[in-house]
Amino acid sequence: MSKYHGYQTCFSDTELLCKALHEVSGYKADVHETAINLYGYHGDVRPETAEVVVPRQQISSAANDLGFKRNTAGSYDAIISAYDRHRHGDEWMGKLKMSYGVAATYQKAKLNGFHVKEDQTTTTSTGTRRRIVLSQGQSLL
Amino acid sequence: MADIIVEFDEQGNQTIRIEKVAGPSCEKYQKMFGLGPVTFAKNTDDYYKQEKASVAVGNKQSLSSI
Repeated sequence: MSKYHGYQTCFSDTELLCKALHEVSGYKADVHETAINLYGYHGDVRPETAEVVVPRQQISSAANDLGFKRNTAGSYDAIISAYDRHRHGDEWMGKLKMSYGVAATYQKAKLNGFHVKEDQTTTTSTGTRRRIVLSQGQSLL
Repeated sequence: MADIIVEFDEQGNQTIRIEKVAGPSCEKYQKMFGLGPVTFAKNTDDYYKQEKASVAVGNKQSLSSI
């Protein structure tokens, strides 16, 4: 049985987290008002719980559920099994963080009267960088 | 009319630069667009002990309510 580990994240908005999970890995996460137990790949119920759950069947035929559990600070902790760390590791989490961060930036810009002046993606040997320039006031474009 | 430059590096870490404005407004914009501490730190063993304890209490409560 693969042990679950919790990882602190910056994600606090459930909708943006679900969008990021879908954009990065095509996952359609289930959202629960109260945390439910996660399941291992044998269908075995685990003591770890989460409000946002990606069912194991969406990940692979030999995967455990992936969960995100709300902590007392209001953000989510990622609950990832040791077995699935090869697919949900630092690189994957970096992509998820960027997807979430970009969506959050666009959302906050819209809410606060900013427009996007520039949105540039640069691919480097170690991954992708993103630069978004926001400007206050009306867009001249 | 402030310009906000939001950058994400390869690890998804965010940095924010504010241009054309100075003073307390900078802090306001940092808070507005900041995601807070962007970490991916593994929780400690204490976290799991607390989690297990809360699950155990939850099980006890549900059994006693039957």
